[in-house]
Amino acid sequence: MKKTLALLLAAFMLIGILAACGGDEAEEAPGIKEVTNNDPYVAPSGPRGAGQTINLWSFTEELPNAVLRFKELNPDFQYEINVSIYSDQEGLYEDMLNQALSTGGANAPDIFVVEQGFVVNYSKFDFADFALPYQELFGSSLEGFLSNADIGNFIKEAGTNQYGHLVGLGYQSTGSAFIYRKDLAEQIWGAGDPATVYSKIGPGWDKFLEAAAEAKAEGISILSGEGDLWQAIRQSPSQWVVDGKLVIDDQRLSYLDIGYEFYNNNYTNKSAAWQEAWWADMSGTGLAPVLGYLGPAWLINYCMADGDNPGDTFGNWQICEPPVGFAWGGSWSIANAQGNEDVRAGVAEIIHWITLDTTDTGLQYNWANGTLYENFDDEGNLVAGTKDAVASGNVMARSDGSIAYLGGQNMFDIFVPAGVNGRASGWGPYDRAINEAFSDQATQYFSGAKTKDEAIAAFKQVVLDSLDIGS
Amino acid sequence: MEKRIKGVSYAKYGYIFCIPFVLGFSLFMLYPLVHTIVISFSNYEGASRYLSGRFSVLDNPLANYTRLITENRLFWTSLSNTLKIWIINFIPQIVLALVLTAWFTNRRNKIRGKGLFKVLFYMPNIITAGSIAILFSALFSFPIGPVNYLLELIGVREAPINFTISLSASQYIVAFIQFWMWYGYTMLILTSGVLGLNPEIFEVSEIDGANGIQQFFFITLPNLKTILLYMLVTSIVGGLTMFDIPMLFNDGGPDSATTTLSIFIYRQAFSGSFLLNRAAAASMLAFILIAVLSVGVFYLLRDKDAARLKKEEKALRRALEAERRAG
Repeated sequence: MKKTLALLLAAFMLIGILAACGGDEAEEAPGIKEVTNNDPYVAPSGPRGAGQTINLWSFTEELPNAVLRFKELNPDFQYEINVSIYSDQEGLYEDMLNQALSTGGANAPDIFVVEQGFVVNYSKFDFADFALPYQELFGSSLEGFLSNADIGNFIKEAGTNQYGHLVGLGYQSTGSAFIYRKDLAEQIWGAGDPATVYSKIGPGWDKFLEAAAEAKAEGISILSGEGDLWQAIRQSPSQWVVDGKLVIDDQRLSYLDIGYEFYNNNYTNKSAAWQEAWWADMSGTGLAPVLGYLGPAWLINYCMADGDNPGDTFGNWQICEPPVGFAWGGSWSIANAQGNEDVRAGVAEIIHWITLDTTDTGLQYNWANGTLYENFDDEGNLVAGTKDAVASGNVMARSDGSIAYLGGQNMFDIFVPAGVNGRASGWGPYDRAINEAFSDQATQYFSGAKTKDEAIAAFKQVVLDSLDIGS
Repeated sequence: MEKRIKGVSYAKYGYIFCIPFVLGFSLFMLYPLVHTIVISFSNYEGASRYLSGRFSVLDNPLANYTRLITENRLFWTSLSNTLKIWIINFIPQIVLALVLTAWFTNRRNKIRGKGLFKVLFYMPNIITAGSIAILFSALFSFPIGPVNYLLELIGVREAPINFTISLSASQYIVAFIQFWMWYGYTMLILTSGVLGLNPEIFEVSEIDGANGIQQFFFITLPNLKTILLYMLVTSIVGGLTMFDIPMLFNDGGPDSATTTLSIFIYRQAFSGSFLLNRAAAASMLAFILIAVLSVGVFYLLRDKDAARLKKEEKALRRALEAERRAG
């Protein structure tokens, strides 16, 4: 009796497991091929969405908070917003999101936000089936919205699926600048205005290397760490993986030589991004004074100028064009094609407000001018809060990007053209893991632990072993 | 009446009470375990199979295993890292724990504030591993960080040391964190083991003139064998599945130096290529390794006297039986 019962149970389990196995389906590029909606978009009005819930997934609080603010400002928008936030560290957010998307059901994400490191996985590659083309939300109005908003090319490129349909857009512009300390530039070159500094540091890495030597002569490190260089160099126009094979193109390969020069001539403080020393260099309290950082507007607003971090250097910074243009970061909003269809109107309204609404009440205008939330100074007067570069060129042209941290410089003067320099063609599905492996081995080469060839061979081996991508 | 009482069987209640556990266990432990075994023989890899959950068993079911063992260098690196980190953490840990146990349980010396010290030693174990890993990565940060500052202050080094890019330094730091987190726990278990021993043995040995060291080596240690066995086996299991500290301390780096077996398995499955089948195969290999090591430890620390007695008893019985048959 007992034995039969045990056998029966075991048999059931095996059946259950084997049922999960099955035939292989034919391989086809993921993503939605056909769009069906050609009606113009009608902005909703009147009370709507009562008793319905929109699930919003993000890796930071930034966008969820903005959406909650939208709800506050629009009392007629009565959808509940159910927010799920997971940290982006170690790929946790992607794991959770993948599981939530593939499980589906009532709690499936309706809108999800993805970052530069993995946006193309959801727009073009593995998980593209979940990305709803914007045209399904906005119909024939989409084209007009886009031409009006004038959004940077790389933002659209990253958010377009294999069949050419736009599925995701960001609200920030993450084209980058060289953010430098004016007093140190004056010490090195006698002048600290953006035009002079740009003529010294660029264009091209050779000029930047020369500038680094000149800074070194004054006891100044041009950057905090070599990793800052890698941020810019890694954005090559071609992808890491071409036809299933790992390809190290010349631009990425050049990081080994350029980084080696910087490391072994002590042109940087050798600190790693996001570590204690990297932050300390922002306030001039690091090992040696650091001339600048390569990065977008968010690096200024949310890191360098944040809280007490600037210390005595506040107001002493300026920005100019970087030696080579690149984009770093950004958040793309994607509607889940397999999400709850009953809330699609609400989803469209939110995505429109975030990405395509260029009016004074849209997110981007308020984001660029720091007016989304009410900020008061010490005397209780309403003042502008944190300003950021946004995706829409239209909005940026109408906005004032001058901030006290940059001594009143209008950062949009630099960031608007910088947005053009971003390139998304080289973003691929394995970027995070491969980039990490490459910079890890590069550091081993810089420090002298490995020769260049050994480092490259080790890099290829790690990629083969951990991702099964040969070269 | 009498008949009815005879007929009452309490056995069924046993089964009923077991149901919640059996259900929970089958659903959350047994099923995943069997599922993992099946996956390890399958072609379950790539995002599309991950999404659809459909896969089939390979024509050569052992292909995932042979690939790992013969081709995947990172697998062997992670295995040797794991063993290395475990050994450099465990030996000092058990030695220190034994020394502290000997002190704290010694009947002759009266240490004041024993309880306080025990709490202090146990403290690192209470803090979550994540916080500790982050704390240490801040302590050893480069070029400015507390440890580098200290080294400069006492004049050991002129220039700061970049611990985070040195392979062996990272391994030693991870091993040290493990050691520091767990010696208090080990000490507590050992102490409770000693306190559970019959005090008369110690009294007798004292009368016989044994000193503290002799007591420790000839009475405490032999009697602690079962507790030591428990410590060793749990430490092997814990050490070979080490994940959180190396992952958070330096992301398994530099140059994969702190990539442990668990990090390797996690990365196979979730770092981009969704090699779930190979992750499952590596898990099974890890399982086999842990099982073999545990059985080996059991065998080494077996009660030799009891085993010999049993053997002799068996031999005697057989002899008796043979005699009876012959007679």
